[in-house]
Amino acid sequence: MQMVTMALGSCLGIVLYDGEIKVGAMAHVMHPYRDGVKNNSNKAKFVDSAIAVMLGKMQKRGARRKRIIAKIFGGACMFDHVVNNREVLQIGDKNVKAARDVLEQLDIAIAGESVGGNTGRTICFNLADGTVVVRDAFDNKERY
Amino acid sequence: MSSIKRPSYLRIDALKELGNIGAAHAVNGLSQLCSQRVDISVTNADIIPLQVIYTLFNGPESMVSVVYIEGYSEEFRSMMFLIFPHPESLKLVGLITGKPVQGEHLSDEYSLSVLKEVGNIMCGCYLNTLATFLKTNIMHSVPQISHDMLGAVMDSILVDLSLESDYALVLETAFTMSNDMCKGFLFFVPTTESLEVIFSAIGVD
Repeated sequence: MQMVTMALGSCLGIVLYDGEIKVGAMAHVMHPYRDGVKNNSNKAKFVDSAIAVMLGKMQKRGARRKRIIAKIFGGACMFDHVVNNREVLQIGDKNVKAARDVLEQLDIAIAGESVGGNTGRTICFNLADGTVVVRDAFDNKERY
Repeated sequence: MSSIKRPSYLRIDALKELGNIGAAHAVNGLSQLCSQRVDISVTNADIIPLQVIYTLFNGPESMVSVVYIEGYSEEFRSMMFLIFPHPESLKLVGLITGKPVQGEHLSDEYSLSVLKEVGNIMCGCYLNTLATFLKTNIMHSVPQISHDMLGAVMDSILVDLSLESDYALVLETAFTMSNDMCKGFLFFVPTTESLEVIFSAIGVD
């Protein structure tokens, strides 16, 4: 079975996988942290809350924290300059940093990543072996 | 979910008219730039979920060129983006520069700069018209361009709006060149506070 999320820009695609029982989860998040955000009812939109939700659901299906690995993709900067010095367009970097911090706190290793840069990415996550194929807009493919 | 209140029909109509006039000036600018007749659709103004923009094209993975500009004054802030589907954007650049673009994609600085200038002229005309109505000066940012998947580009633009709400009030105008050679979409997204500035300036309370 495959899971796909299309067109990650500054958003981050987070994949968690327990290879022993072949249970995995994927999230497509927009923002780093849920706290302090007005429109925060959707937990799947934030790095910290999405990882918590994914872990919870995987553990219900028998996954063990110690066996889980993570892979992260996206967090690009789609425009070359920052408009009016606002930090918004640098959100990609913040998402990547938040994911690294949250995963480190949970003691989950990052086993593969393709982050930053300035291209969009579509990711296909294969649950049979935990590999992720990253495709960009120009149809270049790479496996992680 | 939605933290934006739907404006009254009168207000929506006023916005549509404002969008029509702005877009007409913007497209006039484009028409002069490439000496072509350009037709425009009637402007659509509505509160839409942000993802709806993807449905105008072939989904989030469709290739587009997006020019992004912010318009702002002391009490007013808005986002404008101009979307050209791929490969029409290549034809437009070819038409303006007088020589076809090499390669399948817009990758060279020069072609990207041409499209940025198109965005500069069109959004400049649109915002100038708006400024006349609001009796104020509206400045605009340097144009930014991205040639990539629609979803990836739009996510980056809409990310700060989505902190407030999953919906936004969007004014959308489509335009097509006379020989169907190139089409594009012009979007104008004022912030909620800026909407009030617009309404009070044009006297629809």
